[in-house]
Amino acid sequence: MVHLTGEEKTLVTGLWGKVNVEEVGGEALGRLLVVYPWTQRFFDSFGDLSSASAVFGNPKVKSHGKKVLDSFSNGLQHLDNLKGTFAKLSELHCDKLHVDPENFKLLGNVLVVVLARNFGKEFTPQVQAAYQKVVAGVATALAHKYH
Amino acid sequence: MVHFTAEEKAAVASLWAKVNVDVAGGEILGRLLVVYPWTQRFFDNFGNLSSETAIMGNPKVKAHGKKVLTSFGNAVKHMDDLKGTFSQLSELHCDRLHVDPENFKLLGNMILIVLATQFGREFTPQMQAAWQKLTTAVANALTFKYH
Repeated sequence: MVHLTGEEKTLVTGLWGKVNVEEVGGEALGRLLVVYPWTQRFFDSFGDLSSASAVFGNPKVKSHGKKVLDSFSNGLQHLDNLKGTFAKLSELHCDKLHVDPENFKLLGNVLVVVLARNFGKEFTPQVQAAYQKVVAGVATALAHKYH
Repeated sequence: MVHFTAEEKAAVASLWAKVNVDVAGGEILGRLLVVYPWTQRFFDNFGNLSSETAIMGNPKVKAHGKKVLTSFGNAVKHMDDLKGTFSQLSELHCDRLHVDPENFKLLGNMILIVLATQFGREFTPQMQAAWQKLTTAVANALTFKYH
């Protein structure tokens, strides 16, 4: 279970209130596919992922990115029970999608980079630390039902 | 051995030319100490690291950050022989400093995040991919002499 102080929760939700979930979702998923190309193997049905431009112009990447980030947003509202919140998604990623849980950490890192890029100076060390804690907690929760 | 395309080398070099090593070095090391507090154990003699403000304002953190990033600058000049370039530093970090090599990846992540906050739009997915490759390769090179 991830423990955020009251201050950290405020920092996290404060920044998240300014996030365009649709845009950031597509950006984060797109960057995952470009920076860690082996992750493309999970998205065979997405069509053209052959270059950064193809990835970023791909409508399936954008819409799936939004779906993923909406789910992450949900997690932010249940920081005290991430394992419960992500239990079903954890089973799905293990039993049906066969995703190596290491990839959850990679996506978490990419999300942090996207937030850093979008918010610049506002993405202070404390904000970063709080988000780093959250993405690690979500990654752990998503791995929790693996067997 | 890691292979960088001509494009990747150009991208890395072009961004590196704009980095203020003095300032960025302190920012990167500072964020490592804030976001991953256990790393403070390697810097016992740095004085006050008790809060984010203390860490980011600490002159020893800034000075050492600059030293570390200057060394990283060496990597940018020798992208075809990172193992050779970091051979002695690898021995130092293993034999004398006793640093868990996992921490090299963490520092690499910090470099990316600071670049993202500073360069915003310019930190494109391809730029991120090239830098991710470099920081991973440097982390591997620093681990190479471990025994």
